[in-house]
Amino acid sequence: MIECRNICFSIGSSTLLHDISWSFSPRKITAILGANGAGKSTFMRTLLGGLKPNSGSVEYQGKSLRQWSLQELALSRAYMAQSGIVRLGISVLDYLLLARVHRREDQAIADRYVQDVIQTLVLDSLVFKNIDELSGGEYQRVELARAWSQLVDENQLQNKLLLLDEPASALDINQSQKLYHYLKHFVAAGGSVVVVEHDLNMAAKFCDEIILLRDGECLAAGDKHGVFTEANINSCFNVSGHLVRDENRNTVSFSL
Amino acid sequence: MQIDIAQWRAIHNQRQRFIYGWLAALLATALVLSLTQGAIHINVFDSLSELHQRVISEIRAPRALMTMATGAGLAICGLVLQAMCRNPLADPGLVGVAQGAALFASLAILLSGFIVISPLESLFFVPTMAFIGAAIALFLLLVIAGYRETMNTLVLILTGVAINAGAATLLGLITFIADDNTLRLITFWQMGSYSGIDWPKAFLATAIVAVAIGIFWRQANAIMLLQIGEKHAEYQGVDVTRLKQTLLITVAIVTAVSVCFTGIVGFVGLVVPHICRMLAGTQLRILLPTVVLVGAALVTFADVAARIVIIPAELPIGLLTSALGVPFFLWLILREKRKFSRD
Repeated sequence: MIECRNICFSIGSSTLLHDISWSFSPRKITAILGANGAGKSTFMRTLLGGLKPNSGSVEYQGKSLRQWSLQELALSRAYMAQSGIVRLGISVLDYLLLARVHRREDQAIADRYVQDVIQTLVLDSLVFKNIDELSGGEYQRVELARAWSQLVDENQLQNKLLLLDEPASALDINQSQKLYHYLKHFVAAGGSVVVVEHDLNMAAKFCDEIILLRDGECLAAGDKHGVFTEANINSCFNVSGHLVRDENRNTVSFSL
Repeated sequence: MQIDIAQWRAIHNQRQRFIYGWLAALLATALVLSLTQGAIHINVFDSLSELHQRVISEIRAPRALMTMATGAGLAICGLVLQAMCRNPLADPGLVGVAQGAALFASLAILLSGFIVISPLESLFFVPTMAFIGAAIALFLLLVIAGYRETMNTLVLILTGVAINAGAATLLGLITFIADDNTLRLITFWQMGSYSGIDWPKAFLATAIVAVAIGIFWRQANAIMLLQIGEKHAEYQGVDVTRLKQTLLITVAIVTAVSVCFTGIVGFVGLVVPHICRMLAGTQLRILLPTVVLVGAALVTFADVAARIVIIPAELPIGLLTSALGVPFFLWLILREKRKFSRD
């Protein structure tokens, strides 16, 4: 899906990303984990093409990002930023419909797709609210729907990519769990997801692959069972905690 | 629960049509007043004398067209500037764009005294110079105030003050050089006036404003995305650089053409979008026609008032719109005060 080779990015004398190479698998949820300031968001923005790496290359679906037009990219991948509540004064529905502007399609078609997304993500109670009046958590749910609405088309979600920067930071555990169920649904429908996550246990439970970043370098990357180890997590976050394995429910969790 | 977008939209469309209907009626009233009121009172229900016919067709009709075109023009420029700067206090006059246009138009009037040009050339010479002035001012504003992030209100207003002061200084120099005739022309014109508008000027302004409305309408949704953030818009497929260039050039041209024949009619770009947001909300596709109608009606009413308050003389219209705009501006500042203290 995305192939990055030897990405380096620095501002002035501080190196934010150092020699990161990784090939993101399609139809998987890949989590980017790391301590504060480890370079997670920076990494994601280089994947988006919003930041140009000083060296190295990012390829998306076999083509360098530079060869993609903004329009093509918008049809194929969507991004949900970490924060920044929008103050537009419009309804949630109008906001979701804005995500389909670049398609230049009939209003009725846009309506139908957006209505589907609203149904899938169970946002019915929010659609007619003013977007300025949402709580932080509600806003995050709407943002996911916005990114989703941007992508869905007649091929449904085949080969679409969602890039999410801490999409659950304002969600309660119930909503976080729902969010990951929706992401599973997205992947099952043929899409791929890259998510920056700060909740280790959520990542361990719901993601397929994990990239651990420490000080801008890739500490470990791969299938979550290989990466999510006590040694790796302790080293990545500079803590000394334990991995707890629950054989009955087949889950692992990390606690201090 | 099954949501019904179609039904929701039907209710909204009905509300919109209601608002547009009332505003169109308001504009029609303004138009009738503009054709009938003034130094010569004309009763449209009587048969018109030849004099009255000529007053209407040669003086008042082009003048009414001009007030509507420039009113709509200044109002949409305010609307688009506010969206681009992500700041509700942006207005072509406040931020110095109108003054930039005025400065260069004055220069053009002054130069017309020295170089002999045909009336047709002069029809384009003054607006072209005004456009250059507006473009320079807009460029300065964006370079100094920075337009990558949400524009800080303080920086925006201070930059406007600086550009206005610079333009005023140079205008002072021009008035110093100008002879008596040119001086009177420039002074009166700086306060705004729709006297002396003929059909060619009115048509030129109308055509340009109409094209601008079309451009803004087409880009309305992209402008909404731009309002959220430049990166956000880019990730959703908007070519932000090109969009901004298009908007800036259009704003500069419309401000120029709205200022160059009639002088500065202040505060329209500030007051009208705010009133309209209260009426119609913030969805640009709905807001834009509202702003066009209200802008056109407001300036036409103001021009009628300017003609009848001190009959047979005429009050400069810029004084009237400022008298309306300044209290409004103060109220806006009071309302935004909380936000300032947070900045």
